Amino acid sequence: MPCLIENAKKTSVPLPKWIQSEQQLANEKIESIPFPNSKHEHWKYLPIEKLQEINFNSVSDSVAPDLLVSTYQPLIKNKSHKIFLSNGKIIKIDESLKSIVGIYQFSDCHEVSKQFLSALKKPSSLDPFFYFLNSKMLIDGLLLEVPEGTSIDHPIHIINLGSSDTSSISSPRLIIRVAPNSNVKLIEEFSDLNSSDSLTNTVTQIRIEDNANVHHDRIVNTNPDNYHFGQITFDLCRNAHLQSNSLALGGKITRIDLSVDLNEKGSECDLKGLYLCKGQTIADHHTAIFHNSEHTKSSELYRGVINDKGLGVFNGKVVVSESISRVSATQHNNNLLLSELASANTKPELQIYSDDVRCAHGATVGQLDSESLFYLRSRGIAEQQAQLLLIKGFIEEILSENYKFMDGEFITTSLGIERNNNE
Amino acid sequence: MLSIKNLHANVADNEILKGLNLEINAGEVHAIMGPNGSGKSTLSHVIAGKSGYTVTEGTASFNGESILDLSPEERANSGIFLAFQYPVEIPGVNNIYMLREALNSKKRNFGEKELTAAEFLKFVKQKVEALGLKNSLLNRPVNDGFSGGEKKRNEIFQMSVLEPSLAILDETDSGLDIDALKIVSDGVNSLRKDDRAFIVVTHYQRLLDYIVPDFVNVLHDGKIIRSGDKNLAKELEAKGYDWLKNERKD
Repeated sequence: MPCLIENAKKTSVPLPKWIQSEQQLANEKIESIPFPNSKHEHWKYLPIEKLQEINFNSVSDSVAPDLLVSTYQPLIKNKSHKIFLSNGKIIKIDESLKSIVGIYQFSDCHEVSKQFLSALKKPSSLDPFFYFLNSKMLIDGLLLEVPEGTSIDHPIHIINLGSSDTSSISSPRLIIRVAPNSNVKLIEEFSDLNSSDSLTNTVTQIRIEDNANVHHDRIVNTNPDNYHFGQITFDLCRNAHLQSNSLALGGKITRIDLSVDLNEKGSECDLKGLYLCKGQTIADHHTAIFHNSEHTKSSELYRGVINDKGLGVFNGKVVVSESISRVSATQHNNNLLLSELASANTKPELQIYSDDVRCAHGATVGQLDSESLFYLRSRGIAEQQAQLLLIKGFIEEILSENYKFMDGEFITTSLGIERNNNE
Repeated sequence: MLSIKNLHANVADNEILKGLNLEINAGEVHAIMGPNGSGKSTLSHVIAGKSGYTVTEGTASFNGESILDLSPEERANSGIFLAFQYPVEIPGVNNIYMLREALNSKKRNFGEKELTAAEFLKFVKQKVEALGLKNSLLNRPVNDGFSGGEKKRNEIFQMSVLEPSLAILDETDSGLDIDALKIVSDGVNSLRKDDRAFIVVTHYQRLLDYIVPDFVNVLHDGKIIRSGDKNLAKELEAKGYDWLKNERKD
């Protein structure tokens, strides 16, 4: 067994049968699956072996919930209905939310509906090791049920507060069912405290039923000394629409595996993503879109800005099998390198076996355009400010509507760019 | 205002400017004409401070101060403006946002109070109206998807907002049809003032029918080989550049 979980012990509270059976399976699997290493194609570019050298401990419950909530520093200024979690346990919920959606802890649900179980069944695209590790290690999880025909004014904002312990492992798990004809905005945020060498290994499974419309924002704000492994799966039913935005601020390693199954006619997804890296941080997005039905549509645009010795990785898989027709898929990834030692690896992985597909893709890695920079400077804008304007312009397309927090200060802090004294 | 003496400048190892002299006073409009490869764009770029050029000899001063060691933004903030031959498209950056940054940089440089967003909007709307442009220009990304004519009009609009004391128009007429040429020229003429000088760089005499210069300077092989009044441009148009080139050889 890899040492990374030897020291981590689980609490004694038994979970209900439906999740226990998952955990038993995970226990068996994890014994037989080798620890991932960078020789595997799926983990290329990541120094994942580092994780094996750390003796992770369980998260202690030493910090009082109120105190934990008070440490939270919001990145987004938009109004939202908030749920605070720590290692899968609810610590605070906005009252306003309780009447709108069903919110349950795993430990409180002795039985779950077949829709939830369907979301829970492990999609084939996830990496088995970290998926089973999450199942094995989870203390508790959150079930969220958005009832049929729900439409909510403000986003449901799920905030996972990291631990303050050094070398701890936490395993948040979230399962969401969005019932037919609903229209919701979800924000899933992972906020780190000043811990180091800690690992957040999270699994989120979202099922979007007929004619439902989901806007999902994922914000991973990992501090440069921590690891984040996030696995997200979306299951889309007939005419379901998904808008997904992923924002990753690179930690020691931030790895996001995001997969979408377009299962029935009329299901569509638009995936956008942004990663910002500084220092020696690494942000790695692996996305996979499965067109499992005809008349499905996907579009994808990921952009990264990488400074210092940072590394950005993007791997975008799109799968259309032979029998599927009338499919449209686009994929673009652009990377902006701000320093000579910054690097980016981008790889489109289009597995298209059907003839009836409209597909376009493109990937770029480049630096700030010197002509644009001179143009702005010739208008009197100082070099650093001109660079910032161009960086903002580069990421504008990704996150324009959603993130009120994407102001200059946020970008300079995330990228470690010094500002002029006279700003 | 601008005084250039014996200026030599290289691109890589090629000498492009070979001892250029030019004196420009406030209120004057100077045309710089010359054939392809004579150094017209190099001159514009060297004055504006673009990287990639090495000045090996000579001086260039603006209002008595040497500008050769200044950054492009320092030159701009002291009152020099370059209207680009090929304005750059910058997706994602709003015209109005860029201009507010630019104007406030200049105001900081002169120790003046910066404009708030509301004050700035009022100010630019006056400028838009004065030039007969559309308000929609303001909120579009800088030159992104603009037609050739729109790009050049945007340059003139930016000039009107930044109110430079020296404006360099680098082949502003290239790629413009007659109607667009007239609109751009009207814009430039409306900005002529006693305390503002212009350098109009062009291949053709045509632009000078609309923007009538006080002086015409002919650039050839990195030097000004002839200066005169507006009639020199007409003579050039009739006789071609070879006329002056040959005269020099004799």
